[in-house]
Amino acid sequence: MKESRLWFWHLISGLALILLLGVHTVIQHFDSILTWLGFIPQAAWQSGGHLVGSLNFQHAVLPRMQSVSMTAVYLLLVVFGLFHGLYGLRSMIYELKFSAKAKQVVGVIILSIGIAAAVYGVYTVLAGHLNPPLGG
Amino acid sequence: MCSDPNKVIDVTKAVQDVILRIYRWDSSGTWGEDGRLVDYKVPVPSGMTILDALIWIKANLDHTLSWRAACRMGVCGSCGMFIHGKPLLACQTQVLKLHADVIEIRPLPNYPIVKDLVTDQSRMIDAHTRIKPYIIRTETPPEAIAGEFHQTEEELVRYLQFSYCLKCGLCMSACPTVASLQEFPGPQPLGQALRYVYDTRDEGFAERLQEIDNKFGIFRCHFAGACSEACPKGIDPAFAIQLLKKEIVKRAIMGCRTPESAGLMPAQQDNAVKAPNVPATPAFTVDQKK
Amino acid sequence: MAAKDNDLGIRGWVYAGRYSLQRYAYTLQRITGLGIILYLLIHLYVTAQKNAGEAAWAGAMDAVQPLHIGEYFLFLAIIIHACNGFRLVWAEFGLGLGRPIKNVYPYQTCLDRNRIFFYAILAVVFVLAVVGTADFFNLIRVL
Ligand code: HEM
Ligand code: HEM
Ligand code: HEM
Ligand code: SF4
Ligand code: FES
Repeated sequence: MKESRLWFWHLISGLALILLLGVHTVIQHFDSILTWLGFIPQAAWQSGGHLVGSLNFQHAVLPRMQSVSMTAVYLLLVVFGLFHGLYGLRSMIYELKFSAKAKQVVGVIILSIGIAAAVYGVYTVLAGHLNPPLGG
Repeated sequence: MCSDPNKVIDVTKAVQDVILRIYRWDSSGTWGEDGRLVDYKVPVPSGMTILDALIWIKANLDHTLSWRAACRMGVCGSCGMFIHGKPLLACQTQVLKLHADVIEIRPLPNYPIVKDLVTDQSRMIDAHTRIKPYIIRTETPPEAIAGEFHQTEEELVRYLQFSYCLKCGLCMSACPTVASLQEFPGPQPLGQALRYVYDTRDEGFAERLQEIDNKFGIFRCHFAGACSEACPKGIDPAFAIQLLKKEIVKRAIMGCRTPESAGLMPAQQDNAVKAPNVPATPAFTVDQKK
Repeated sequence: MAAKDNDLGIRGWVYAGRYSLQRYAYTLQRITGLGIILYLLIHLYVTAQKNAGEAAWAGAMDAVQPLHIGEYFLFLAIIIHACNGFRLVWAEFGLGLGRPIKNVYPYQTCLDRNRIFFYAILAVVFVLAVVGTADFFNLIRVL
């Protein structure tokens, strides 16, 4: 693909990530506030230890896995996050000082990592949604 | 370290001693393999430029010191150096305005050093050549051009700002991508590519695109903006490059129609009123084969 | 005639001279971007354990617990990268940088016209950092 198109999608995926990663970061990092607002049940804080709030399995993680909209957010986050991040990584490596031939090899390696991670990520998100564990 | 250009210079002291700490290197190894910083104490009157100070050193302290300069007035672009932590024109930088007792002067980064403060600019010149810095007409071959191109004031201002480039190369020294990626054209050539793309007379967009739309091309620019901070002529190469990216998005990705290039003024305008006392167009100096 | 290499190399990414904050926002964007992508690759593997049930999830979370503070720095990296990235997306599409002008000394550049946007971004990062810090260290008392 032409470099201009790859770069174009790098920026567009950046814009999309503001929304996707924004949702994810608010859920993970503003969970006290979300509890106060009623999005996370008080029960999520009762177990003690560090698996409380948005990390609590029964009251936070499992409900998200079962939610269609959160599954959609995660699918897009996997794909856009990997494309955006790996294009950025490739860009940095291409700007280092070594031969253009070796850079071609690096390009192929990054593409392979991207495809493998995307397949794995999409699979985990879908598997969790279609076949949620019953806990315990 | 920090200098405030608005700080008032103490003019009560007519002459102040300033140390210029200058990088020396030559290919015969006089200053060691990695070169060395050498201190020169210069009596600096107000108004003296770095270039004046270098000339004073050459005349009075060390005649082996080398640098490059020509116009001593900021138009030739020869005297670029890395002065006090920034790429600057030596002839446009007054010593006392830097407000420092010790001023370090090094050759411009990102170019090979030839000797002392002299660098080899061919990297920039080569890349500049590759982006074809001239008007390209694909629709109308030069021999068919029999008149003047029409261009409005507005169309002129669109590229005028970018056309004052000196080829001093300060922007290339400031650019982080130029610092590590040899194949990257750099801010000067990319800025000049826009200067022609924005010229209504030009039809060379597609041709230039081949040079810059590749994995080591324009998209290795990340808008650090240091080039525009360094440019002594207000070319604003960072601006030019982002505008060129916009043009690529518009024309190459969204498929917007390429704007029509400027038309020729009709050779014979029957209804146009010619101003009096305007001399006739001179005859062609090249034989017109038909 | 021999010439001496003087490229700044990767050092030039980090520090190249007395440039403005906007120049060094580029450096931050790189470091944070690199951190986030490396995190994502590991993250995909760790969070996948949720599919194996609550015990596996607790096991995975216990395993990464010593790195918990790293999550706080990752949070900071995300808000810096996302906010500055938002500024860069528009800028790199050539939007919001003004129009070409007649250059009259003292010259104005697109960096001057973009600066207000940059400071606004810094303010947003600051607010998000304060809220996130309060949440992370449980300074917000629920109930
Ligand atoms: C800042 C700290 C972060 C925390 C605490 C965090 C936490 C989590 C948790 C607990 C999950 C499990 C699913 C869920 O609970 O709903 C998850 C899933 C996910 N996270 Fe993060 N995350 C963080 C940052 C990121 C970043 C930076 C990205 C990348 C762009 C990311 C991408 C994802 C994706 C794609 C999933 C779904 C993967 C799966 O279901 O296996 N996360 N994250
Ligand atoms: C949250 C929203 C995000 C936005 C708005 C955003 C935006 C941007 C922008 C504008 C750039 C600079 C592109 C350039 O200069 O050519 C960039 C670079 C980068 N981003 Fe993001 N990004 C976001 C999230 C992420 C995430 C989640 C990752 C990792 C998974 C990531 C990894 C990178 C990397 C590695 C770079 C390369 C840095 C460089 O080339 O200087 N970004 N991002
Ligand atoms: C033997 C006598 C002279 C010699 C050897 C000489 C040599 C030169 C040279 C080498 C240049 C630079 C050329 C260039 O920039 O392309 C120049 C420029 C110039 N000379 Fe002379 N010059 C002489 C006499 C004069 C006289 C008598 C005048 C004025 C009455 C004059 C006015 C100028 C001007 C105005 C320029 C600048 C032109 C420009 O910027 O393009 N020169 N001269
Ligand atoms: S764009 Fe500015 S800094 Fe770069 S070569 Fe031209 S005049 Fe010099
Ligand atoms: S000597 Fe010509 S620009 Fe300085």
